[in-house]
Amino acid sequence: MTRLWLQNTACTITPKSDAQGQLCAFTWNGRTYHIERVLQHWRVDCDWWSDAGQVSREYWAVTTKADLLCVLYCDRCAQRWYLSKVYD
Amino acid sequence: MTDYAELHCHSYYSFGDGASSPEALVEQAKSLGLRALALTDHDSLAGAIRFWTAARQADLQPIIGAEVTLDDGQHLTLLAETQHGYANLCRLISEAHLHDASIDTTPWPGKGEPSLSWTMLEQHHEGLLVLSGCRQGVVAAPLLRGEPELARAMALRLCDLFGREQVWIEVQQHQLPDDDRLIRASLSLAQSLDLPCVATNDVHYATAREARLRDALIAVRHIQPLDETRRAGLLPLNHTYHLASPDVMMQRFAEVPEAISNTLAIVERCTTSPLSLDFAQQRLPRFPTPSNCDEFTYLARLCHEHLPRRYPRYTPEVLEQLNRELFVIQKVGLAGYFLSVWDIVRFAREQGIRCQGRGSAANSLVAYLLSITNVDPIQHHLLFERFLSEDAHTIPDIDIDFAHDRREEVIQYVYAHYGREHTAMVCNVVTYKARLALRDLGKALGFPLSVIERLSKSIDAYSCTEAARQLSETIETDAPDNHPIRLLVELLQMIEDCPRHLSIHVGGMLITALPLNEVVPLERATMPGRIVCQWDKDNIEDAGLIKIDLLSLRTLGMISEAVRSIPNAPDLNALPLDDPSLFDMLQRADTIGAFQVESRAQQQMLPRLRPTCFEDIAVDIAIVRPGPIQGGAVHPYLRRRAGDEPVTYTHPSLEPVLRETMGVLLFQEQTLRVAMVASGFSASEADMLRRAMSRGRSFEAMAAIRERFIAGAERNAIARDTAEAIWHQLEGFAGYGFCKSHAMSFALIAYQTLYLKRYHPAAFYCALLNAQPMGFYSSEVVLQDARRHGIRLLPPDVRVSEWHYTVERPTYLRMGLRTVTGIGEQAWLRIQTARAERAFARLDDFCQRTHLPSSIISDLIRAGALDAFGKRRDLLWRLGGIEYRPDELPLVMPEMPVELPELDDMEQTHWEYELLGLSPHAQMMRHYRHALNRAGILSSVEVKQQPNRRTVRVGGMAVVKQRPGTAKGILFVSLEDELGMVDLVVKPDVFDQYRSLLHHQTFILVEGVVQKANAVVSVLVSRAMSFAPFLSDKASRPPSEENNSPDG
Amino acid sequence: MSVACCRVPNFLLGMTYRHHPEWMERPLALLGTDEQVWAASPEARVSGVQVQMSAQHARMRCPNVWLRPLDVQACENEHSTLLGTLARSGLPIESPTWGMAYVDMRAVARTALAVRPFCIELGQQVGHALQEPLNVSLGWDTGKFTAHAAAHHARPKHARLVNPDDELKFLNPQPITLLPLPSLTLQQLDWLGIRTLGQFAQLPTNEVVRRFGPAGKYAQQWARGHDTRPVCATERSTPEPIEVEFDPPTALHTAVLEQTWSALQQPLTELAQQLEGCRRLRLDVYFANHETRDIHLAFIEPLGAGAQLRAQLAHQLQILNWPDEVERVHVQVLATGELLAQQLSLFPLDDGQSEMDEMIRALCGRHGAVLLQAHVRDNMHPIAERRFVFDTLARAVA
Repeated sequence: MTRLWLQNTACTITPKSDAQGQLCAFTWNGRTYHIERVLQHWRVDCDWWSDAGQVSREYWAVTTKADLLCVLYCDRCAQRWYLSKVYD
Repeated sequence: MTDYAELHCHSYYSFGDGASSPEALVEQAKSLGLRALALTDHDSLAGAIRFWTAARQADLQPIIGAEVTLDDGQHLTLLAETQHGYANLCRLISEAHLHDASIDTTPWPGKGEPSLSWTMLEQHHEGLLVLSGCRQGVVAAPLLRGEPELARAMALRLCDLFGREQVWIEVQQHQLPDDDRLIRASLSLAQSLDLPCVATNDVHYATAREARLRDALIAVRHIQPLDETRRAGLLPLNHTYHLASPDVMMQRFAEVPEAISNTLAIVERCTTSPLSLDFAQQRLPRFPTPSNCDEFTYLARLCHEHLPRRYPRYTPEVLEQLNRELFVIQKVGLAGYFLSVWDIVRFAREQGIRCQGRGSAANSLVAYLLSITNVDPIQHHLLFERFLSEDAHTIPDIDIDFAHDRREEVIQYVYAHYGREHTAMVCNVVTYKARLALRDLGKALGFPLSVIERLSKSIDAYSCTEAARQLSETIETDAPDNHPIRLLVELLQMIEDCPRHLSIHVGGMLITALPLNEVVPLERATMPGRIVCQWDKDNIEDAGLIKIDLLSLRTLGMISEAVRSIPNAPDLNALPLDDPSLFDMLQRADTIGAFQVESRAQQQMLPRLRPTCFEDIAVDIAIVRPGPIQGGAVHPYLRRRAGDEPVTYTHPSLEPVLRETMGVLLFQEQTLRVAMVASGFSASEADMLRRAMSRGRSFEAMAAIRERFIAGAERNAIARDTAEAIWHQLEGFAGYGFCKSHAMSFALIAYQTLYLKRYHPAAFYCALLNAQPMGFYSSEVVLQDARRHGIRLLPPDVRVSEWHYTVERPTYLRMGLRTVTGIGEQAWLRIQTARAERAFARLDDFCQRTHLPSSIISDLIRAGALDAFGKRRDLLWRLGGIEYRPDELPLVMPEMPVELPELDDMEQTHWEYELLGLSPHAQMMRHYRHALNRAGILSSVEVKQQPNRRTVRVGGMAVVKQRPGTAKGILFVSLEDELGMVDLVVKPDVFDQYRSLLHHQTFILVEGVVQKANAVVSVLVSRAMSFAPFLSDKASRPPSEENNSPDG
Repeated sequence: MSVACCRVPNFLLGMTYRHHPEWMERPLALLGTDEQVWAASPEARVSGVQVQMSAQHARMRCPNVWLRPLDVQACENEHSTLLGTLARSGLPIESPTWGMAYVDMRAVARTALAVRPFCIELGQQVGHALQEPLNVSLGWDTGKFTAHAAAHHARPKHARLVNPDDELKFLNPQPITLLPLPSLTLQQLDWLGIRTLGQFAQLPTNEVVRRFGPAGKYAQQWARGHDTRPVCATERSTPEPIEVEFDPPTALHTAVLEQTWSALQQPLTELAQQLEGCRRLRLDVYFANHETRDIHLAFIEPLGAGAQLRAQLAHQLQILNWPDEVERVHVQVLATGELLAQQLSLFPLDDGQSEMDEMIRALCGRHGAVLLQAHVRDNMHPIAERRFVFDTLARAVA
């Protein structure tokens, strides 16, 4: 099942990096999830001209050691991290 | 420390895709510490020379390349390894653009999209290195589609074609979702074929800052707003296409370090046999001389043959000058160039095509002897060094003006004479300036056209940066980040100088000894039969090549047209140059429509300068230029001329140079002579100085020249402060002036136009109106002037009007149908055809025989072109009842007569301004005169009768608004009413206070002080008021379309 | 007939100024639930801001425009108050748009003199019911159009009752722009110098029909004071439903749009000829896999002209989630209404965005996540939230 969050209600997370600066874990709802593998990593910059406003995000699709597949993103303008989708 | 060279980089010469200048890319590459940079624009080397020069100055290794588009739409990155490879690159790009088209291909395919066949690649592959390209590349594209076998086949095909050792598999990482998959697939393909891989970054801008500009440019290229462009999948997903540092690249390709190190191997390959972009040795093909003597001997012989014709009794001085010029010409190897130009001019004269050399060539005795120019350089003390010096770095240019309607014949002659392989037009890089940028960027951001129009009218700027500044004033500081105006401002700031497309240079033709398509890529222009090279005039010069300027001068064409319509017209070239009535016109500034002496600034100058002889006209033309104005020469000259102040010289040694211009710097030649006399510069050094000043060299470069100048002056016993004063004058002049020879050539044309205006006004105004847009004023202003000279204007009339203006009776001009907005040539053809059968009898007859849409006919009615058939409102009413479908027979229906309100004068004038841009019957202001009189507001004539310093109020239509850069923010407005024109001067503080009134409105009402100096009257504005109360008659009418009203 | 027209000038702006009097001097544009401009102040209109523009477009035309969301709920409440106050009279009422209503006064009286006290009382009641700065102006006549013109003519807090004997005298000098004619027709009349109702009334009728069609004929009758339209308290009769079949079924958006649009032409033209337009429209789209989807369109003021209707139809079809090829479209005009001069406003009826947000928050709190159904808004958009819009709550819960 996929769980999706809308823009304003997406769940905020706290990322953690390892010594090389690579994303290795994140905290969500008080629980820490360790990242096993980064499946995909992409970046989106668009809509800077639109009514809705600019999007500048870095996305990470990761699997956690708890076998959770999720998509996180970092809003580059606000420098905040969000959980975008969770698959289980 | 990582080392990396970027081998895939687009500048803004990848039109509509790249966003940075070659210089910016070089600078950023240097600061990131890249080993080398390759420029690989899409199917273009237009940026190559600028890139080459900038990189070498920055001590960065440049590599010349291109990303070519194959005929299946896929891309391939090519880099020139050797000079031969460079020639092949040029050939391939030319082929991609031309597709076998040559100048006589019909129908002309137009500009078109470039595409290259594999066959051509096969023929011209030597000396080129191949990288497999971006995601649209021949290998990556099939991999992305999931066709690894095809990708493999393509890679093998490249190996077959170019040789295995020339091919690299290109990998890129742009943080796209499937990048990793693509890189893995590419690497495994490379491994299986044993091909090396190489990392590139497909750079489209120097830094991330310009990413938005690239998005916008892509939208501009696809002629749709950004939203649509993104929806169509044409925008890149993110903003990572900027130059990256070696460390970042290393990090991205940490698992394949050889992809990074291979970039250096490629650089090594490209630098083994260094490339040269100096083609000075390939300048011109050998000129065919009789009995095969060498070019120089033939040139010298021609000069001596023509000597007695120009100088029946020549002095030793003439001979000495001739020999000196010939010596220099021989030394710099330009005899062939002179012969080529001589040959072109000879052809034109034989064909009776009006032509005249302009510019610095008129300094040359050789040019004068060969009839390339018509001004005697000996008599007028013209300086040959301004034209040509022994210094091999300076290349002369000879510009020749031809009548605009016959220049084509001359161009065709050159093509035929030198062969198509060696001849092409020089391109002109159309760069973004305020208006164009506003238009394109506005559209990309989704601004409606009407708003773009309004914005573009509201800004008063040539440069995009200045436009951005003005626009940013219109929004509040707390406007949101995505406020459309704020976005527009941001883009405008970045787009300055960015090229938009290549067009044809006004007249430059490039002729080379080598086949041209091995020197520079060629492409088709929009105009049929035109092939242009991808370099502009500066590139041509920097590459050591020479162009010949075959310019088209509308005024010459206009003179020809006027002369054709005058029975027994005199030979204008043989006019005596001392007609007092013409000088009287000049002194009264009655010069609208006259060549070079009609502008508002000229109209201010002429009554003060009061020309009395032909040479004065040349002075007058030369003095209203940024050079003399910024050099502070104007007022001293006028005062000295009037005897109000003594003639003095900054240093006595300058007297011989500046005597003829009363001690001030007016002509370009004088700057050279001053440098030579004051500081002992050689002629070629002086010319270098002039070039440095006019081309805007860096502060450091100028400071170095300045030191040399002052040191030289001190050696000549000129005190340091005097030397600095002289330098200051030179710097102020900065090359933005005419050379005397040029001013003389133009003065002759000015005199001829004045002659026509004085003695054949109908022919003059008719030709002038048909040549519009031309010169300084709109048709409306020209017509007002015609009226003041007794010419009557007849409205367009479908029964008699031609397409253009015609002279109907000696003092009557008939407006052509093209003056009616919305009437195209198609409509005109229908009217013409129907009229040729028999004359139109009534409105229904006109409708049924032309079958024009009723919207066009109602416009013709409102413009007065059908007045012969009845009153305009009645015609509009009748039009509503006429059925004229082509396949049906009209049954005449009895029509109920109606009584419609009379069309009042004011409304008729409004219609005419809306549709014709002017009224043949009345200037708009006439309708407001009564009300204005009652309000104590004066007419232009009354203002001129007021005493100096009287405070007045005046109203009218602003026909010209100017804020020249030389005038410190002062706005000049030419205000016209039904009686004449008056000039307004608005100082910056007043302008700022009344900006919206003064800037956006056509109807202007101001209060100010009359200023009289000699015969010049102007009003120094202190206050502006709304004209709206006087327009209120219109306000009560229902709203019409947004831009219809002439005051809109 | 005996009709009173009750009109609240600048209804939406007035509602907004009530809470923000400081916005009065500014160029102001009010955004409706569809993020489009629903009303613009005179200062904004001068700069070209028009009803139905997006926020970005309003800013392009008037860089300093203040864009503020319209308090739709408050407007609806106030409009209900207006109608409720009028309804207390027990008379039939018809409201063509917010802030305006016709009252059928036949049961009260049929002459100006006789209705006068009643009109004054009605005006006072409405005036009391509405809060500042809203004002009411009232017009009365024996026909709807003249009553409307009278309400337009009357100053706020005033009533203008037109005596049948004086009707033409009143109408003749009024501007022709009071008639809900297409702008092209108004433009042509302007060129002919026909600018008042009186001038228009004098044109020969058959010539008016020849040039401006049946709509012109109706308009001329009104301009002559002949308006027999009843006050419709209940729903009007609507055109017959239309079936558009696609054989074979199609997945082409343009094909569905074009055929549906051309099928709609006839009823729309017939409405326009009566100077009426469509107020609500429903489309049921039947797909080959037997699923159906419905589209509702509603217009705050009825529309005769087709461009906006077509654009809205195209948009709605575009954002509709197509599970299969389309077999059939069932089109039904649910409500019609009279055209008003210079009216234009249009918005999709169902919009549960804010409600949605609230619900999601609630559900998130309970379950951590919620499964929702969405329809595609922009299928090329790289960001999920902008790719689709979640369906209304009712459907999500079901």
